[in-house]
Amino acid sequence: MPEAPAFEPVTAAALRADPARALSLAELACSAQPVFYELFPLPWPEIVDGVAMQLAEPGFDMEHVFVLRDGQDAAVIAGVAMPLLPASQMAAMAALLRLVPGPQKKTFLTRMRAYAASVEPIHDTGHYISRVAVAPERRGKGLGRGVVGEYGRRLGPQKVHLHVHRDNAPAVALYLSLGYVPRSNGDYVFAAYTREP
Amino acid sequence: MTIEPTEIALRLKPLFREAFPDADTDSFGPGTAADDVVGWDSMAHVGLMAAIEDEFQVQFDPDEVTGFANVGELVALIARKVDDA
Repeated sequence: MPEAPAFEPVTAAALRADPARALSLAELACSAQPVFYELFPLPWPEIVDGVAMQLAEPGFDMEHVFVLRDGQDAAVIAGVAMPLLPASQMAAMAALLRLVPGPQKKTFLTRMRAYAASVEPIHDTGHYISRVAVAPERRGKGLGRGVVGEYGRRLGPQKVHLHVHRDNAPAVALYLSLGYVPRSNGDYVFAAYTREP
Repeated sequence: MTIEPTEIALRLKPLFREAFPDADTDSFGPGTAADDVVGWDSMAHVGLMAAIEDEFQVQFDPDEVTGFANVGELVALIARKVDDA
């Protein structure tokens, strides 16, 4: 019987030393937020390159990255302390905006502003998790539950927040089953959920 | 390469006007902070920083993107980055 994948941290330094893994992990992380990354007027490989760079450098909103690993990265989750979230998200946006050709920056920012309005704001303490993704060939084995559950346990008794697309019924069901509850009845495309300590 | 703060402030003016079209950017001074400015939200901030990078041919580190409290500190940051470039 195959061993269960191990839940492991992935450091930025490790990814700097292994650019191929950084790219592969970036591809996986990007797959968790298709609506967001599809807004960028860039070819997909350039977006993945940009996210790989962010994974390999400190200061962005994927401050902590964990994987479920069994020889390959089967599932990923990223997180950041809430006080660092706004600045680190802006740093991430600035880094990706750098890749957008000059004439398209203004249009892109307009689109991004509309996207931001569709995301329920979270002004709170605790920790924020994102980029929950399972490798396509490994889906249906409970690995999403594995990364979210294990990361939540490691964070201990603190609030943990996330966003989920309101139409992503399987993800909503997963988060509800792990104790995450909607923060409001607001009509946001990306609803905020919180797990209380 | 060095650049005078007065020149930085001058070259920032059109960038401010572009980033914050609803604000009275002519009244901006060293003490002007984001909270004082109509429309200086996160998206406008990111757009401004991208425009500054293009104008001054510098690249901000992640912690520098939001690492200033007011326009005076932004000017000092740009001067430092141009110096280091």
